[in-house]
Amino acid sequence: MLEVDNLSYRTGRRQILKEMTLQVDAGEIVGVLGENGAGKTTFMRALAGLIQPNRDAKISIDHQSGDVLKALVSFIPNLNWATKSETVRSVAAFYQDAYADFDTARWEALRKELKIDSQAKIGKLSKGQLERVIFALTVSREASVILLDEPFGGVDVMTRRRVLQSLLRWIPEEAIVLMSTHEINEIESVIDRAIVIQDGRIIVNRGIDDIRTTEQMSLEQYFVQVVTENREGVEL
Amino acid sequence: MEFNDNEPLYIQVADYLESEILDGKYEMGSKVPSVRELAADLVINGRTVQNAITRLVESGLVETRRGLGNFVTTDQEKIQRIRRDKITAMTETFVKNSLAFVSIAELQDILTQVVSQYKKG
Amino acid sequence: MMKMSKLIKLVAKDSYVGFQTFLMTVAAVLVFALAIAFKDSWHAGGIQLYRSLSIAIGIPVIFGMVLYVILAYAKSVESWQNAKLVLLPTTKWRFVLTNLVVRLLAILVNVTVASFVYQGVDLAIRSWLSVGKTENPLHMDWQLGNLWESSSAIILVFLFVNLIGLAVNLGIAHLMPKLKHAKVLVFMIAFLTVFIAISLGETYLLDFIGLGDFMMHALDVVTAGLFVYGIYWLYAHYNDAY
Repeated sequence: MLEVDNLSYRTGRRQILKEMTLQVDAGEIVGVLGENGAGKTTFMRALAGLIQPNRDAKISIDHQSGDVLKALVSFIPNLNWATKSETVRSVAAFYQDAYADFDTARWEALRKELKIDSQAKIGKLSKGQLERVIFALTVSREASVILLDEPFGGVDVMTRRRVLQSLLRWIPEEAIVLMSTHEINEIESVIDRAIVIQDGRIIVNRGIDDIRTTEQMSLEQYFVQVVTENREGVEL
Repeated sequence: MEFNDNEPLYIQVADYLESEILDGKYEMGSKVPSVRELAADLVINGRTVQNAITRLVESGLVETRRGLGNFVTTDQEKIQRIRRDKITAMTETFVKNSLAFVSIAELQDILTQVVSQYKKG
Repeated sequence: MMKMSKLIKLVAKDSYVGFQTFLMTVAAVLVFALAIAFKDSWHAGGIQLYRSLSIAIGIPVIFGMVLYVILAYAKSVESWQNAKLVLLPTTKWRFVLTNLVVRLLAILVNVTVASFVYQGVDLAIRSWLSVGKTENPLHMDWQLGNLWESSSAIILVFLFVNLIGLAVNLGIAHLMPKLKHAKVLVFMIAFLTVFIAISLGETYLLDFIGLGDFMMHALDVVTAGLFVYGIYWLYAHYNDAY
């Protein structure tokens, strides 16, 4: 179980995350929705430990907190650290080396499913190919919490489908997945729960069945409705 | 598999799987793919697929054999009954909707006409 | 959590990224300079040739070493915000200490090896040309002792650069993002300011209060400790890795 309590984050004068509280049970796949700039990525960066939230924030996984979370959370924000001439294989070798929970067999299977060439140079990959590499590496860890930040922004719809299929095929039963995306229609059938972040706050946190049954509309329609209702200021 | 916004997803998945089975895609007694495989194939959440399977187990179309997986029933009668129930339900809906436009006598005429067309061909 | 040996290995590997390219660049310059030196002085032979070669080798080597140290320090500063390292499954203290110790050692080892290699090459050339030691125009007669005596200064400067560098990077990231492109300049200003302040403080302690050697060494240790703690504090509370 992932428990987040009163998570806030401010940088300089800007309050980016505001008192976020959330609880996700083991095995849940959560869709993290929100407009650009709402705080989705920052939220994930805080969970992973790339930024330091406020002192009284509590983040725990199975009642463990602190530095140990890095061993329990799988998140790869980018591969900027890799030199242009480094291959996919050498990048994978790093993760294999650094993380005891990296499942090489799973990585190989995902690699084949998503048509990733291990000899390809990182510098030569397209945006979509890079996303698939990041996705495959992230999901290859047997972690308690898997964070995917817009895992398919740059790929076509067939590849998106393949990525989602790989996710469903390989994600460990007890793993929690937090996946942010703008392709709301496509993940609707995949997620258990949807949270909507707006202006750094979690304004919706509901099971997908609850939303569909109660609201009698698609997730995307519901999202648009909620965001519009909650928007401050003038609508364009 | 396309799904709509009206019915709970697990029911839609159950209906879809039921059609596949009744169509003969999964033969009597054969093993239904695991929940995980089905989830990946259909791009549907695993829990939803599990709920759909449970629904089919409840209706008797699928049996769970511990440790081995889920299997289509070998009970011929059960399948016949389910098939018949399905068509009866569809027909009831159709008849009900049709009676908004035509009388029951007219409807019977139309039905007889269409059925005899199919009998010939 | 990962084993310390693994953490050390991964940080060490990271510190050597780009090293090969750097060496090849210096080697290229060296070869070019040697070619010119040979062409110029081959006919002269003896001392003249030695002098030419010494300069042709010595200058790229000196510049190379200085450049290497600067680049290695810069890389060290940037490593605090490298997501690949920050996300390693280890404690913050372990990472801070390992990152500092491993990188510093790597720098010291590389510089020491380079100076040994240079001395070896110098000796080889001199014996080939039968030239005495005092003829080296650059007076590069380093002793290992020199290096070790200044070790505490080297360590303190390294820690200081990391502390100021991290403070500048995080300060810009959180408070003045617009200054992002001027960070080197901001760093140099911050570095000089704090350096002067600390130097003045030390001079005051040394000359006016008249602290003895032992106290000065103790002060060095305390200062080093404060620097390390400062780095940890910034890293643990304000880090912003990407």
